[in-house]
Amino acid sequence: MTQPVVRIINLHKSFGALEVLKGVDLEVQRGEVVVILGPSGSGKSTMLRCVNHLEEPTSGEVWLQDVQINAQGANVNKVREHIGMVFQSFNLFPHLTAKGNVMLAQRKVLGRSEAEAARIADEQLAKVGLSDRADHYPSQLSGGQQQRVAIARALAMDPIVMLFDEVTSALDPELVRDVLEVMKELARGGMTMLVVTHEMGFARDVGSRVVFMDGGVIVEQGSPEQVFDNPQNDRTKDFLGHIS
Amino acid sequence: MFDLTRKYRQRSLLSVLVVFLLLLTLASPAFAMTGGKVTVDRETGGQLTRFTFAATTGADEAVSRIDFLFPEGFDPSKASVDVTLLEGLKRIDAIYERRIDPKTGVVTVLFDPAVPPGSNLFMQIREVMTPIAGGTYVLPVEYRLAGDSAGAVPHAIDGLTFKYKTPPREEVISRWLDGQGWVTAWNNVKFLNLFLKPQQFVRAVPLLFAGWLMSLALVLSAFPISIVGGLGTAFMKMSKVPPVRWLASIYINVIRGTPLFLQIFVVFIGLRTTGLRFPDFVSAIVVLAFNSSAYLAEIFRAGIQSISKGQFEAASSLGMSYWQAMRYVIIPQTVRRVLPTMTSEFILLFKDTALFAAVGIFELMLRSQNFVSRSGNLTAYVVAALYYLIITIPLINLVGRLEAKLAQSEHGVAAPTSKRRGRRTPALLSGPDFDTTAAKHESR
Repeated sequence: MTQPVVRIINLHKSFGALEVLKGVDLEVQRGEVVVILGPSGSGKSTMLRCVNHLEEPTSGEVWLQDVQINAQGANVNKVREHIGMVFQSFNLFPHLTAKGNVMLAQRKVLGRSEAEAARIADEQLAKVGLSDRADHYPSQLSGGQQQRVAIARALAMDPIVMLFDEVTSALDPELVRDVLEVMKELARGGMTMLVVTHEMGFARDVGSRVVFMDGGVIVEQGSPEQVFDNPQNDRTKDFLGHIS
Repeated sequence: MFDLTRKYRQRSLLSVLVVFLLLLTLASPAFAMTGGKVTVDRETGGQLTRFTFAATTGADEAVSRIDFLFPEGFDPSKASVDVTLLEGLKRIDAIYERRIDPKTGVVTVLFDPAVPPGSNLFMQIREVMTPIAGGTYVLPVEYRLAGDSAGAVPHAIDGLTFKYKTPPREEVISRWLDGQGWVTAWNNVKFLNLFLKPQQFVRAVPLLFAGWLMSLALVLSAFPISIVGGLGTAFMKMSKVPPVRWLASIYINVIRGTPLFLQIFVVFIGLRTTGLRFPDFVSAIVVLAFNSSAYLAEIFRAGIQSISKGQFEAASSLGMSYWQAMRYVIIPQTVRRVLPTMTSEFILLFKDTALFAAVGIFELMLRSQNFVSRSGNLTAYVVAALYYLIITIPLINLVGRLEAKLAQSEHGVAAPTSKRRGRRTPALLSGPDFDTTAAKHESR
């Protein structure tokens, strides 16, 4: 078996007295699309944010390939270069155009030349179907367009793994489809993805594995068919019963 | 031997000649007017001027007529003449007649009886209009004696000069205004005369200009320093190291919690007594920069913290370091957001330069104050106000436009701007996630 891209070992995370993650273990293999489901407050977003160290784990280990990101003295910024992340609230840089957003980190973090960064930005914007919006500022774009720019921005860094944190939750329903299309395309291309979402259709169609979290632990995981059609755990059954 | 004698003779002959000539020169004053002098009572040209002529008549000269040949451009046509005659210290009555030839500009005074020899003669020629161009002029004076025949060449006193300067433009305008009917009518209204006297206005404008430049120089030198200092202090205030944070807090609170006036006195008077002496201009810039840095620090800190956390997270998730995220993502957005408040701070600082009048820096306020105390007229204050407004009104306008533009770019609509805004309250920095209390400025 090859080395997993992401390996989470006995991850705990507390905010003050509140323990949000109570021992999570997860391995993600190259090319896997792991969809994380669960009720709000179950800790799925926190777990995702521990992967690129936006949250510092209280205990446990988080590995990206052979580097432990939460080790003492680890170069967090260096590891983050290889982890793309897309947020619920887009978080585009409002003072830059779409293209400027995609170029900035390429230039400053990867040290790519202006021309190369621009070329890659054009490529990535084309991939998400926004070539004609390259010179627009975020305020001139719809939510769905902004989120696709955010995806392009992450992809331009040539990440090993992509993290999606409820990326369609803030979108109007009619805009969700475009974003999901882009993500499906990405999955088909073999990108390793960790996706926190409430889109059951996406989880079923695109997910190579579904992880159900509740109360800060992984309650159940398996193929979409297993989890959706034949859930074993009562809490999973309860959750799926509520939303379908 | 012979040669020597000849040389000696030649030499002595030369000596005799020199002595004779010398005696002739020394004796000549006895036959002519001496001590001739001309003065004018105005420092600048282009106005009615009184000429004073003083001389002593020769020991055997009975002067019966004096002609003043005013140069071209001088107009003595309305002149009057006063004569004072002294014999020793005793005043004697002079009976004289004045004649003026407006075409040639010659003022003639005829004495009958003639001026007794050896008199001290003082003459005043009043109300001669001088040409505006300043310089040194020659006033030729001729005189005749009682015994001279009509056709005789008159005696001349050469080389009598007087001088004055060209008046500055504002004085010319002011004088012109003096003669205007509407100005007189205007000045008859007490209020207008006190606050808006046209003549004072015209004179104050160029005089206060230097003060205006000084005020501008102070604020333009201090403000860039404040921006750097304020940004540094803001980062110190947000530091993870507690002592650094405390240091910034103490600085900000002490500066914002005390009047700028007091800070000026501390630096100007306090430092002087300790022997530290900097040029006043430098001291002033230091106080202004120190003061403004504290206010800007709070504006910047509030501005930085008003940028949503997601921006920093997005930058971090792309692998940017803290300072890269600050430099390329947070600060550029902060600048846009704090620009209106910063501009307001600049306006306040510019106005606060007036406080330096108290420590003798010749900025706008002190200059206008001096002008007022000299003239007893308050028009200079109005001029000073206009000088302040030239800078502040466009900037106040700019703040309004910046705020509207920012509101539009952040919310997609023009947010209503509050007109009733407290002093130093950054109205714009009141977004949902903006800590207004932290950025609120109290009046100094």
